[in-house]
Amino acid sequence: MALTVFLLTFGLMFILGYPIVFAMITGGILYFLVTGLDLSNLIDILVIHFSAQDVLIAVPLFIFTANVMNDCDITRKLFDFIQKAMGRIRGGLGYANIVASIIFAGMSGSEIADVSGIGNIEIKAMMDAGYDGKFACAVTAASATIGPIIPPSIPMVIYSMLTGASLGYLFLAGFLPGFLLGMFEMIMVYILSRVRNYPRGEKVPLPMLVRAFGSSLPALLAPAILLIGIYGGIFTATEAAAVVAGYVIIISFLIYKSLGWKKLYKILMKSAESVGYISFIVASAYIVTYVVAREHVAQQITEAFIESGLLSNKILLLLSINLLYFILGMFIDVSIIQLVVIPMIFPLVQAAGIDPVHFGIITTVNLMMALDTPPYGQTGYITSALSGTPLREVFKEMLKYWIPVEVAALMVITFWPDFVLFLPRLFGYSG
Amino acid sequence: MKMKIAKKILKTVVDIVEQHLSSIFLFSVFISMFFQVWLRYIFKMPSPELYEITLYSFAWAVLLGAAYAHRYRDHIRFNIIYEKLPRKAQLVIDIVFDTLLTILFTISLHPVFRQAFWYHMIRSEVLRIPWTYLVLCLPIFIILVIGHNVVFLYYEIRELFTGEPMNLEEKPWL
Repeated sequence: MALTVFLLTFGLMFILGYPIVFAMITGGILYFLVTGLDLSNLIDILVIHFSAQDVLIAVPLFIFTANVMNDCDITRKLFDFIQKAMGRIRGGLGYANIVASIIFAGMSGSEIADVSGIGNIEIKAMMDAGYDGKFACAVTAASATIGPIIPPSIPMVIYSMLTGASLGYLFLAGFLPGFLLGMFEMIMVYILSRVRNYPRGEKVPLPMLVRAFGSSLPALLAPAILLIGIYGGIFTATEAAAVVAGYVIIISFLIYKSLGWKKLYKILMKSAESVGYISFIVASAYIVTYVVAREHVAQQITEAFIESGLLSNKILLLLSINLLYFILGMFIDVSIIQLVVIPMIFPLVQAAGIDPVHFGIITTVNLMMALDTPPYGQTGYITSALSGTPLREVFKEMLKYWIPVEVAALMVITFWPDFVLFLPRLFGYSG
Repeated sequence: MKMKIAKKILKTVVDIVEQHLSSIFLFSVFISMFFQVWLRYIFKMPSPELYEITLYSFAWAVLLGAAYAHRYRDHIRFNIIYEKLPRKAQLVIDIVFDTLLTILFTISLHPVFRQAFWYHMIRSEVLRIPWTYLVLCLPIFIILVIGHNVVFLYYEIRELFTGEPMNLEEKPWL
């Protein structure tokens, strides 16, 4: 009865477009009232349990870092150098777009920050150079999916918190799949550039290229600091977020001189709002996790799967989960998929003997793809709005060329665990 | 005139709590975490005090930021069906759910406050700060959400009957 009340309230509010955090909390409070639980438990769930997960502290810091980089012209300088270095090749700005996303990925951890920050610059540069809007938008959206696969990564932080998988090993495991996806996307840029005869950029004289490199060098060092710090044992993955934020602030203040106290405060206010709706959704999802655990929902799902015999076939199970993620991703926000679905299916994954770090990467890639798939693909909406290209054209281009590329990379990542776990094992992971 | 002054004072208070305090707490999360690394790595002096400050600031930054996001209705929603509905149906949905949330939050306010003050007995390990100061962000968040919802309900009901739309860009507290 109580579970039905919870599911009905949450489901109805969710489907009818009420903010998801409040749908979860409303369902939770009604569940508490029906079961006779004391409402004071809300404090334990929403504040104490939430703030005890110190890994989550990285989320606001990554949001803050991405905002500083976007608002202080660091992303522009980064793209300027890559554009000059690669612009000469046919379709060069397409490659530059992907490389810039890979580098930006090493600092921000958020696909939306990538699309709306550096993506804005990339799309404008591509359209000014004569590329069509649909290609500029689609390649920007597709390359942004690399962001949270290469560390740092907000979805990986949340996955680690939900499953207990090591964040350090998750970050390490993200590198090769991220580069693989980048490589697949570059192959698609190569093919489309030939077929559509996209332009070459002008040759940039070496001194100008060196100057652009010098200007972007401080920004290029940020991912290096992050990686050396984490894997050199200097700081944890969570602390890395603060170190990178500090580094980005220092270079914006002292080197680029693009940040003052007023601007910093404005960025803080902007970040505080984003932190409010991104991090709080994690806190409120604890109510769902609480209900799921109290009502033994995950066990019931696992038992049903054991009875169906699906657990004995890993390939079929992984394909089913990928398909489930794909379908949900078309309609539901990624944070909800992550926070509601993972607690339910993770026991299944464990029972089937799938490595949690490997599954974390499969999940992250799926979640990033979800941001590209219509009708709810947020990257499509953002790039379409930024460029003025009709949404239908952007999604058509995505579905025709870029989603298949992402699916191909996902299949390699799903069915070649040794490839994903190569780097973690090199650093001592025993999975 | 008095009403205008009251509204202005209310808006200033809400601005300070939601906008400025959440930004300050976010900055505190960053700075305390940043210095923890420096103190430990450069001076070989781990600082559990700073760690506690980080945790307290984190909880406050998130909850106040969440109230701030609600003020502009920026929380994530699944709006595919909602946007296809006529405006009147949207308003009815908003009114029903805003009312339900407001009632439930009002009911939960007393037990949540009671529990928050009960936590006065428990103190943080290093700085010995009562946990009340950690968890008090939840009842404050609840009050802010109730406040926003009352304003939303006023505008939604007005629009339902008069057709005059609410403009979220105009700050709802004004």
